[in-house]
Amino acid sequence: MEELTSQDITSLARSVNMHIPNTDLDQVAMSLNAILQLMSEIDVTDVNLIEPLPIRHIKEDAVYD
Amino acid sequence: MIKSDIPFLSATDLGILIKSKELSPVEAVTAYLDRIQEINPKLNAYITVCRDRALDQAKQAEQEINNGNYLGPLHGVPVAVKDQIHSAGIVTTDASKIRSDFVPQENATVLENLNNSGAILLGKLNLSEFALGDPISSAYGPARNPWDLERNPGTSSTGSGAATAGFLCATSLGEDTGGSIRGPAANCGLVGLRPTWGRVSRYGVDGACWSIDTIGPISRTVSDCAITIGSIAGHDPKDRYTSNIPIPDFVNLLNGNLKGLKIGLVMDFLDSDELGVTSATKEAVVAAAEHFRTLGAEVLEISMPLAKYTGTVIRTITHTDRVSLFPDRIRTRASDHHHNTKIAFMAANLIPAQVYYKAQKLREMVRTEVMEAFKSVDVLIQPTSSGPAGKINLEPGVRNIEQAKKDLIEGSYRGIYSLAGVPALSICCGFTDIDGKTLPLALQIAGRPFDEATVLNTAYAYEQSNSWKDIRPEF
Repeated sequence: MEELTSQDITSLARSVNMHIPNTDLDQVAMSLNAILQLMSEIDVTDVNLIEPLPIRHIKEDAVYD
Repeated sequence: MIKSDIPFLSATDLGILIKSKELSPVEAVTAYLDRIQEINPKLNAYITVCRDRALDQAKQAEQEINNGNYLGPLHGVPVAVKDQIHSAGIVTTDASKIRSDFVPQENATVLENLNNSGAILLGKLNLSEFALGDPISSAYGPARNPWDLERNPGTSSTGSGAATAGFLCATSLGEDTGGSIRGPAANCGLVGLRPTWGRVSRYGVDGACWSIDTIGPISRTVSDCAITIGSIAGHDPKDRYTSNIPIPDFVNLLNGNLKGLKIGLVMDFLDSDELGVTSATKEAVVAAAEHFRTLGAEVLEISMPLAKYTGTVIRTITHTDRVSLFPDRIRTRASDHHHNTKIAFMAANLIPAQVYYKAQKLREMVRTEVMEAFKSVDVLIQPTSSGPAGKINLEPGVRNIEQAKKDLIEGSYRGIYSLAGVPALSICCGFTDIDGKTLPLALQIAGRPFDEATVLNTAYAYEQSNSWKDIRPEF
């Protein structure tokens, strides 16, 4: 995955109404690029078909006594 | 007993002496307050010490016990809690300049439960700013590891680890989202239990990620840990996701009998180059697995292929959730955050929805993988961290993208069980010497949802058959 540039970060920040000073752009870019690159490298079969986590534990998984 | 020796008692033993009136709560609290005054400047574990309040509480406890109104094993025992847990009338800072004058009007449920158990609050403990997990980000300066003052006591409950290992409280509470109870327990040679999500109320605790946050004990012994979790667990109408499942008597279930227990050793954390376990940690965990065999347990090797992704997945979810709690703060008060917190929040604010959603899907896959493992074993074991506590680097900033990735991947050791929502405990499993300092190594034990009792008993059997807990830090 191609790294986001400082210019990309500025544009993204504008889309969420956030200002990032020039002095912080490189740092934010490194931090965000690390997450996005690692997430994009996770290639797990059928991940798109999964329904996200139910918040409560399913009854049969739990130990009750 | 010499007053200065009192803080070195376990919470369990201290409670027994208080119950039998061989020691008074006032003596216990005074001994701890004296030690805090002497030692806290070195460890920076406390943000607030509640001296007068603690002494008043101690006098009250003494009176109650003398009148025959004994409340249980924590009655009169001095404790401390992470400064993310609301305390009525006492400032609760989240280790942030932004919250430096926030005084809650109401106690968090866990603190109310401790009060009802007769425990005495010594004070509020340091943490990384907003519990984000950076050892240097506290507005009150970093807490220090008693095993080596140059090293990280473990995040984000830095003060809970430092104070408990430094004998500045008898037992403590931390908060664990991605590993913030188990990390300090590991770095400081303690016992830390992340309970099942839903076992302990989150009400009145400043949140990080609502569906993953848990509050639990960081203690010096398994028995202390069992007493502490027993006093805070249970259904709370103020937290609708707390469970109605009955709370077992965790202490009475500590029998050390592991005969017939099936233990899964998660090999992915021992064999993967990406996860980077140190040889000392690997040897200690493999030795612990062998030791469990001698105690009568059956140890099977288990593989969980998704394990190596869990650090990245949990960070994607928890950072996004965390910044969404107070989205205006990073827009309007960015400069009031520590530099590292500010950068992390800004980056989290830009994570695309599809990436967040992919992480949530992966979370379900991880949970399924963990539950599948529990079909063949009763508990899972693995290292709590890749190695012993690292040095505190006071220079702020993200070094480079490779280091940022490494930090994400390291989160997998504890993130896996946070994502699964199951109970997981860290316990000391040996020591290693680095630069002339002796540093603890740690084993993690995870169990099925709401089966903290088996996790605690497995840890207890291990603890009782070695002498790691008797080795003290010198500082």
